[in-house]
Amino acid sequence: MNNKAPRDEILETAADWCDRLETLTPGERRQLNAWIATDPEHARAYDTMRHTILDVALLEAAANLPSEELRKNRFPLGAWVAHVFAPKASWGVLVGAAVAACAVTVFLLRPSAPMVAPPQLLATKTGERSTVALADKSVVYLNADTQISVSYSSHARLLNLSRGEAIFQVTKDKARPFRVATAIATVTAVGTRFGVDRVGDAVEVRVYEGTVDVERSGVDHRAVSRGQWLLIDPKRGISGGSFAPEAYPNWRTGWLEADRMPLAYVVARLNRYTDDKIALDSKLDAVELSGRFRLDNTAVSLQMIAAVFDIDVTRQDHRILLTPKHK
Amino acid sequence: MNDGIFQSAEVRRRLLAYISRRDRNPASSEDVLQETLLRLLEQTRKKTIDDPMAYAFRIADTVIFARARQRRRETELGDLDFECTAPRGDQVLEYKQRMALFRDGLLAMTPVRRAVFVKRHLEGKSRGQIAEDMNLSLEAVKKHLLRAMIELTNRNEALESPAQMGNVKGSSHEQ
Repeated sequence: MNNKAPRDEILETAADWCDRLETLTPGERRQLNAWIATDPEHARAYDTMRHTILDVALLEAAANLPSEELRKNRFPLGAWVAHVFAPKASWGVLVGAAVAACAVTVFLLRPSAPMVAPPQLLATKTGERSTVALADKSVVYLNADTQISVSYSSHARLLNLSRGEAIFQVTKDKARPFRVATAIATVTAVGTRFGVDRVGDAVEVRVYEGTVDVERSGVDHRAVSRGQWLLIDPKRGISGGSFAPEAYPNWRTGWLEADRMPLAYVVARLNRYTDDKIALDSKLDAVELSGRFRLDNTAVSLQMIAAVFDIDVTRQDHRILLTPKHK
Repeated sequence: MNDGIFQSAEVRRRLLAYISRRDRNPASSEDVLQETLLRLLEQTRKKTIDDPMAYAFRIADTVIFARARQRRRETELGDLDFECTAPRGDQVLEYKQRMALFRDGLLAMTPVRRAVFVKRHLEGKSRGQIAEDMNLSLEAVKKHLLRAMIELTNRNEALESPAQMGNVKGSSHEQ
């Protein structure tokens, strides 16, 4: 016990180094190496700290914390409202909800519905992604340029994907089905992990775990299971296929992986990451392409695409036009 | 020069076993292994590594972490692999167990400390930004952050390698 203080001090220094690791100057890096070399205890503390901080399990645990306002659910509503809208404190409410740095989260209140939690609006801007833990510990991973409203009540979990793409990791709750609605289809799950992507007028559903029900509004139902994708396109009809469900969703690593993907869809997805929107000549809509494209570097991705398909890339103010090359 | 050991089936097996427990997604273990071996090879060409096996486990930590983090800057972790003079080897708890342990650790913190840690570690905010967001001094943010990291590390260590926690000399399984 009496050697607790020095050990803690060493751990504290190790933690500080570990936390600053990615922003160290070369000089500081030399200092770190010197500190590690002076004492095997330093080396051990640093190694131990690093092993924990670089643990994916820690990231996941942090991303899945219950949101703070539910942990103390006897919080008076008035105070809660004031808290949410107080300019500085508003982020405090989101403790535990893993909201990426620039994501915008807004709470809207319905004054006369005391039993229903206020709908929560989740949104990301162009080029930003975000992870949000919901009240029931379900997690939503939002791709860039995405908007979702969340309404939870005692008998239903309703989400509306008004634009963009998200993956939902759903906590099991038989009494409250988890439904994601879009303009043309609704996806229903009990406990599972699936993605919904609005590309232009179409909706794509991918199931990573379990099974979901996809209802085309007023038309039909179909079940989609683990490893299957389904694309509902008002112009092209319905298509489907399979994919490797254990693969990490590519956009979460900053890549778009296309496997015979129509160019129109590729462009829709790239546009989530660029303020200068790409417009496609309709003659190119149906061109299919395969390959791996960086989402955060549109210029490079467009260069690759242009080279492969003989496409002209023209910049006009804040638009990028893709047209077939004149020969 | 000692590239040979990385080709050995035993080395691959031990590394794979470690990776599949450490990572949340065992399906990508082979990819992680490939990348780990590649980085290890690069490093051994740059400098002498005393204990390549222990070093390989640490590189695997970095590779797994970099793959999981979606934020851009982490895809370029670069030279962060660190060779320890007192290697901890390949002790690692099951993924789910570690997640539960970290969750307990996080929930046991005061809300302020938890918030500081989440903002820093998960959301990638700078200490200065957090201080501003939460109306805290920079010193207070640093204190909460470092204490949170220590609390989490201690919990993990207590289970993963109790012998290194200091006061356990004659550990129970030796009796």
